[in-house]
Amino acid sequence: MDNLSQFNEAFFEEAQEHLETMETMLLDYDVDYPDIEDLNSVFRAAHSIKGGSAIFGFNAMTGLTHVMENMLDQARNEELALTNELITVLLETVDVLKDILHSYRNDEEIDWDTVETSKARLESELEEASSGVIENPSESQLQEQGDTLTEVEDEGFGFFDDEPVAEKSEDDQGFGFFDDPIDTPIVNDPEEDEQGFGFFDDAPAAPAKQESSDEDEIEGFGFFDDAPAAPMKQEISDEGEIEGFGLFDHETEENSPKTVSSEEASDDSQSEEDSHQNISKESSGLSDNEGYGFFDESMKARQEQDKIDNRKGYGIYPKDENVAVSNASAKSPKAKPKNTAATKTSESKSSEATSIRVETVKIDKLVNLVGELVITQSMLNLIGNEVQESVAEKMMGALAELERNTREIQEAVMSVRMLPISFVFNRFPRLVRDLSTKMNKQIELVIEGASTEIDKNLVEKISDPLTHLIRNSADHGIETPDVRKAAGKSEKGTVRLSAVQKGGEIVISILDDGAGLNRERIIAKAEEKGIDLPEPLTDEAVWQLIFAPGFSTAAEITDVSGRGVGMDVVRRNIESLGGRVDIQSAQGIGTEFIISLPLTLAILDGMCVEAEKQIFVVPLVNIVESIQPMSDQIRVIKGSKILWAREEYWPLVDIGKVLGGRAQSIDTMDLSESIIVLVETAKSRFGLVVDTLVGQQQVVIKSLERHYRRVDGVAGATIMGDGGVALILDVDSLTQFISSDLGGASYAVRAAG
Amino acid sequence: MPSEQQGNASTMPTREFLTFVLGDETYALDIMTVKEIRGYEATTKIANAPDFIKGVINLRGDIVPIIDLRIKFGIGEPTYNEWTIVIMLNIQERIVGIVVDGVSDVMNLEDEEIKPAPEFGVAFDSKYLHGLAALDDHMVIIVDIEELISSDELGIFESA
Repeated sequence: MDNLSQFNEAFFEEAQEHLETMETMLLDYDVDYPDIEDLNSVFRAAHSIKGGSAIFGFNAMTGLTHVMENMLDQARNEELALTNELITVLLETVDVLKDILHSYRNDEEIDWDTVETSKARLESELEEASSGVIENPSESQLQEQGDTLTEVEDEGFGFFDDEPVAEKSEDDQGFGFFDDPIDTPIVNDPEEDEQGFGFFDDAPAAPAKQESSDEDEIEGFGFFDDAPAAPMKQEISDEGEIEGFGLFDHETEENSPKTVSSEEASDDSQSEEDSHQNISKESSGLSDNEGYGFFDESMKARQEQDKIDNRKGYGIYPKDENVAVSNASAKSPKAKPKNTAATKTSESKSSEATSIRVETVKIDKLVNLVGELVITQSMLNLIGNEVQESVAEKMMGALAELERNTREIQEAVMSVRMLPISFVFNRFPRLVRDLSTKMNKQIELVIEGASTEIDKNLVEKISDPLTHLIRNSADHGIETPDVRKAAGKSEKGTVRLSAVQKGGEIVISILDDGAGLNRERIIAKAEEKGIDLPEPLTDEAVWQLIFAPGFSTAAEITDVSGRGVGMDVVRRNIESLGGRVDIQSAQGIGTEFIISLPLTLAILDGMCVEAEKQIFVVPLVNIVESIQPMSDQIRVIKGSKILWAREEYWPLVDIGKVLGGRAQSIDTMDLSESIIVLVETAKSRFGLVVDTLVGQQQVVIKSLERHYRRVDGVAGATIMGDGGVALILDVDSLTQFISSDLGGASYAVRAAG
Repeated sequence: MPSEQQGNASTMPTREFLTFVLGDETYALDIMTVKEIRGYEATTKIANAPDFIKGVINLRGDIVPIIDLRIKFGIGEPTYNEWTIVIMLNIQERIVGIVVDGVSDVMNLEDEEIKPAPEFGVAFDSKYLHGLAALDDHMVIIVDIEELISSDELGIFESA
């Protein structure tokens, strides 16, 4: 299998995705109103992992997923009702699988004990749950069926083997073939259509996809994908596979006990026979599924093993169809016109082809290069302004065009880096479920705005702080059911996690309808811990106290939260991303944590200002207003100048002095020619004294620390249009340069932590 | 100027050094640390940095600090004109530029040709020196440039 090891990474990634799918689906699963389609998805995910792991020889996964698959299979065939307990067991199995995957990925020893325990547990649950419900066909019976099947299938579908080779004609014929059944409405599960077509798309399209089958694929796909791609499959097929799961199961048999595939084999074989009869009786009764089998078959007419494939194709679909038909008719029967399905084909085809995996390094490089391009473009613009005479106009036109294109490229590249925030949010339903079980609380997690896009780097870094805040809401916020009841609330608490883009910021809110923060307890605790209380003691200021290091008001320390190490880390993490956390809380009603983050870490909207002949960039998000002060707006208090504007005093930071190297202080200067940029951060408000405003510009943030070191008051550097370097101001850290000591109370209102 | 770093035609099992001039003295540094040599260009000043840190420049998208060793060690006149040279160094995966009065040559030295440095008489602290070597009729001071640039004394690299 050495030649397969190069695909290991692909398998790991696929498996990881499948596991996540399973987890999400299981969490969404409503035991009272089971959704067979969801179950199918989970089943397919389990199956894909089983197949893939078997091929690569990751036996620990194969065995476990197989049992899991059995349970899921019975569930989706409505032979077994999934209870909450069973879901929990399944979720735990998913965890075990994740561990195994991790072990395989890192070449670590497999913890077989855990694997076996988990397997045994699943098996016993399965036995218990299904005892008396399902007749398990004996193995010998299976074998028989398998044997006879070979023949039957060959006969039945031999006709397909003769289908022409060329792909185009296959398509035509394929659809022609479907045209007949259109007249006869067929009750069918719509999903089967998609799946079937999905496969149809996959097989020719993606040899690189290999054994990894897509979320939407049904079991057959994994195999079919492979068949044309990997020569080793031919071998296997030649040996005479009998079921749709052929490839995977076959591998499984090699690597693990024979019995593994027996049950499926039986299901498949039975249904194969059934459907085969159907087909021979009336062609118009052909289901989509069978039709796909046909597609599949003709696809592979060029392949040697087509007959076998064909058999396999049929092996799968009828089985699903049986489920689907009964299922669909139990609900509202749907007639599915074939031409709709055909349209779907092209749709899913395009969606298949439009998603690729790219290493993040490559994207980062692209982003850097685009940054360079933006700089070069603004250089050209500068030069273009100097061009004289006849070509000037043409030049300007071309430059404007270039500028437009550059901006578009930049936006496009940046959007590549953007991921929906659901990448982070998706792990929280599980967290909340586990927490509520552990703490005997009823908590519902509502997620909103999961499709809001956020820079990839932020996705990684925001996950920990969010986890912490959600734990916090679940643990400290939401009360136990009896307390809630006594307070006249519904027993079930709600944690609402939402994300929304507001201008250049992403605002993430974690809102719970729990007890709210306790003002007195926080103040008491702060005093106990010797934390300075802010003046005035507004609610806002009190809430910010919980971010102080070592602060925790939880009466008892649970293993969930309460050690008080978290909140200060949360705030620090978020601030290191250029974001801030605000808290709103009302006793008895709930608490809301509001996290505001910049959209991206790489590009910044800034205002260029000049001080002492040097250009500085002030982040636009911090700017409140820029004013040219009237002389009566400047007051002198204790020898320091402060500004009266917007009905309050603003302490001043003199950029020319603190960063521009000017010796003279503004306190002895005439400020009537200066510009004061009023800025605001989470902690403070003050005015930056600069010489002139140069203009608003998007700048690419470059690290100063990469080759130099951190500089107080400077967040980074950027390269201007003329190729020179300008420093980007870090408004937060500029507060230390505030010259007036009287501004203290007004600027430090919220700087309590 | 770039041609001057190309003189490493020798195949002898020796180390190559780039010699440069600061004031009246000739210094040398390990050529493997040299990224490129370029003319001096205006820098962007960094607030509250020592005066020998001239500021930062844009080196093809990297923000790179420029240090004037003449100021740091009080050798020669810190003038800046079209002949002023900056040696771009690659030190511990960082890029740092040093301003010197001129770059003269590339020399090959075997280890035994390098004599231990005296404790005094040189502008540099001896811990930044490899030793001395004779070139024609005068001495070349061989600088341990990595030690120097990463030193706390220069303070360019934040101490870990």
